[in-house]
Amino acid sequence: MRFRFRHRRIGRPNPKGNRRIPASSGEEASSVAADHSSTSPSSCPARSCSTSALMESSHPSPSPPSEQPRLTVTQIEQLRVEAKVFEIYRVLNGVDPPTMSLMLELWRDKHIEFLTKGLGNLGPSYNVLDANRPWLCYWIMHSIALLGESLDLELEENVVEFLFRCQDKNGGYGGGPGQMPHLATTYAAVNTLITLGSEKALLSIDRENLHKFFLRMKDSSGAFRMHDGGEIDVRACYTAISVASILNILDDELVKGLGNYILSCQTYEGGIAGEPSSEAHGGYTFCGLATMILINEADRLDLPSLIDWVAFRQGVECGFQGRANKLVDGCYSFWQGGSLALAQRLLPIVRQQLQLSLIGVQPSVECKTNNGFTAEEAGLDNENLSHFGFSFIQRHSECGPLFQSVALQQYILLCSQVLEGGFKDKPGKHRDFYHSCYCLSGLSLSQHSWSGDAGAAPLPGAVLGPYTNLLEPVHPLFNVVLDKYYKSHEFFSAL
Amino acid sequence: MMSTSFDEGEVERIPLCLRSEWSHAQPLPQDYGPNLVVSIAYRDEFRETMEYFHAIYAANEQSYPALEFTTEAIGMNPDNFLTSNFNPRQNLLFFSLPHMSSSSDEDEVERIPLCSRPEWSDVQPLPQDDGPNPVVSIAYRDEFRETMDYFRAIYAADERSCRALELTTEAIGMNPGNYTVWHFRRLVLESLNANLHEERDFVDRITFQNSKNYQIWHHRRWLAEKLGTEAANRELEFTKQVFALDAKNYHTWSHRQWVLESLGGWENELEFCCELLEDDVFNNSAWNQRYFVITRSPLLGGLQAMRDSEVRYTSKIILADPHNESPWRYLRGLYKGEIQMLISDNKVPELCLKVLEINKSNLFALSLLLDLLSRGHQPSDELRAIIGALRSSQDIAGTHGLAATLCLVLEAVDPMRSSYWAWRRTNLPTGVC
Repeated sequence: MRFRFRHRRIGRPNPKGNRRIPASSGEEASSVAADHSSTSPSSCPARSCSTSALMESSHPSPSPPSEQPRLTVTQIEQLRVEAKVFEIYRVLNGVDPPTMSLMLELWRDKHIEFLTKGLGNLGPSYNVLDANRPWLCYWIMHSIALLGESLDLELEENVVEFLFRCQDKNGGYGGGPGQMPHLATTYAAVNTLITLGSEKALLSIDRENLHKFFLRMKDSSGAFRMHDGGEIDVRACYTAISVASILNILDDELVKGLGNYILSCQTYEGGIAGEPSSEAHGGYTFCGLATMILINEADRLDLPSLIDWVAFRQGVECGFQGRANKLVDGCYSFWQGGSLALAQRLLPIVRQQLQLSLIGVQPSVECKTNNGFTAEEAGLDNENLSHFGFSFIQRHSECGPLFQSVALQQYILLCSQVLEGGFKDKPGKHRDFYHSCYCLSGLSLSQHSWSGDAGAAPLPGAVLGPYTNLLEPVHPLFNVVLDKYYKSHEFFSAL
Repeated sequence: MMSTSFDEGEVERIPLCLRSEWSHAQPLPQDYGPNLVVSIAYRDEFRETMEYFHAIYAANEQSYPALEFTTEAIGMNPDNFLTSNFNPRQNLLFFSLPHMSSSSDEDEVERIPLCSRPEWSDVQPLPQDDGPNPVVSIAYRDEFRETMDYFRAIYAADERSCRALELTTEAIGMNPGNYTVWHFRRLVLESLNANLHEERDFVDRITFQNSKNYQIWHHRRWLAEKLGTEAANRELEFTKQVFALDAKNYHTWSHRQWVLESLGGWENELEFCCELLEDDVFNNSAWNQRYFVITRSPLLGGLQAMRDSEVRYTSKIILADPHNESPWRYLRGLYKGEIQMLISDNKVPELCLKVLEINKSNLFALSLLLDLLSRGHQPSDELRAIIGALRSSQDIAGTHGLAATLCLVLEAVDPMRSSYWAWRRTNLPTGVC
């Protein structure tokens, strides 16, 4: 299956306003200028009829109002990116099917090579990630796991031992040995250990002190601080709750007031911000939504608005942007795609909220379904808040993805994938482990987005490119490979 | 969210002076003047790139090659403090700031190793306990390793002295993301009862090269809180300078909001939003700030009082360019929590219809109309007619309600969201037109 969106000509046929960007004299080297060449509006290059609708899609228009002939920064940057992306898609659409299949292939070996090398030694430019080494472990290990591979046991042991040295004696993990514990690096460390999955890995986590660390990080606002004296935001909330839930140490004290805080971070746009009143942002939207689900308060969010906002983040480039009128970025394949994947399992609540927001008509259905979890799910273990993560993934998803899954896969494989291994933000950027992790995670989510039951093998139509592109499914709340999650769930439930 | 990017392999770069497309440009060397606080030995390519950049900036050459070129310049500094913003309002402060080539491998200043400094002779450096088989091992440069070894020693001893403060300055310079160093620095500053104005000057200098770093902004906030309301104006002014380079910097906006809420300074905020929107009407951060001012400023009447004038302002902007998503979301936001008002205020559907006149399948207009109907808006005859016309133009067969028709139209004109519109159609509340 190939996605039918073709290269579309930049610039709509609206000659109003003098554009400062000069018409090309024909010698311009950059492909951007080539697209803005002196072709008059009435003689647009041929484009397929199916793209005419695409012309109306949401993006900053290059047809400025007549009193302001200048293109804005947003418009210029958007056009540049579109030019690069559409050039890539144009090439894709021009080749024969075998070549197309090759272009859409996931270059597994190169990725494994890049990832494995990173696990060993990194160059001096990584000084700036010296306080983020558990993140490097997680980005790399999770990516390897998504590719269905594993390391040899000795190397896995080394990871466990290294992370153990990052663990603070009073609970939590720091960015490196001897550094203060930090919620984000704790999240990364724990997710890495779960991905490794050995008994030694799971036992190395000091859950008791970790719980105490979380309590110390708990703020009176209901939110969490990233570290002692550190910043408070929705990211901190997610990292704390995700770990507490997955390790079965989530309790009322940790949850208290949290729902109120996250609710106050949902903005007028529908997405969620890092702090109250800040701008709606993909990363924080994922963090906020996932946290609310984990504490069983998802129904308190305005879900229709949230879903609407996220759905509109997928643009003509086929990937997701992080905020309105900003640029596409491969990592949002997970943050935004993941939010919609979560929403897929909340649709009964969403439907209810839609019904309730209808003014003037009496709702015919009684609205209480116990915050989205059935009585059975909720009643299972009233004492234990940590089971919501497990119940969530057991739910059947009634419908397919709420985003264009094949288009997203197209962006990831063609625009983010790097020939030498790894993934990047967008054409023109450099690869890194963070983007490798989140592009692969987003790719996995997309491929599995039609599976009604988590972990069921997707039909070939769901996977763009050869079926061998298929990645392992993830648990969308925690972003660990599903099998690893189940194993750890079984392990920690017993504790 | 983690915005650092690295590449292990370098691409062969052709000097600009050898590229034919740049033969017309005369590079403009810059005198960085007396404000230079850190003396830097630029690599040739960085210097050359900057000299060409200054030339095209001075000539105000707004061409696509110029834009391509700024990508190169940005690529040399992963913190992206250069932008393609040729906006006339751009703050020229940028050019008087010291620039750091942040991927520098060589010693740029003549640095004396700590082990050779007499004032550190009593300290036993503490190496990092990476263990015998570390993973994700970074090949630290000597000066980095040494600085961190001494930091660990001071941190372990909890020594809150002047030399400790200086050491954290050096450590921060090498890795501004080390939150432990920042935390300890705060402890030292407090113990020494240090001059926080000087501290703020220090933070000012390093922010521009690290504008997407969480720790620096958190430190700024901590500082500003200690300095109190007298710091408000300076903080607001400072964020403006950062916006001149990147008008959407997330941390900077959060900081500005925090300053306003905690320290005040609301007087000119709405005007500031207007200015930013004049510069770039697509700046969603500016729209978000506008919403913040309208709803939170103690000097304005709140959302209720401001709604009408804001609807007028926003409608004008929408009509000027209906493809800009930001004002549409803002418009909806003006009715947040007031569904009844939203569905009965005729201005809103009238605006949608006006837009559809000039742009007959405008996605935002259609989607807003759908949301109005979904919430119980009673459609006018005009609206019914328009939807009827759309149904015909999209060849939609069968009998459908108005809202369902809109969903079908949207599926056709907004294929990227076809699954979303399909789902909306099957989940229209019962009783909707």
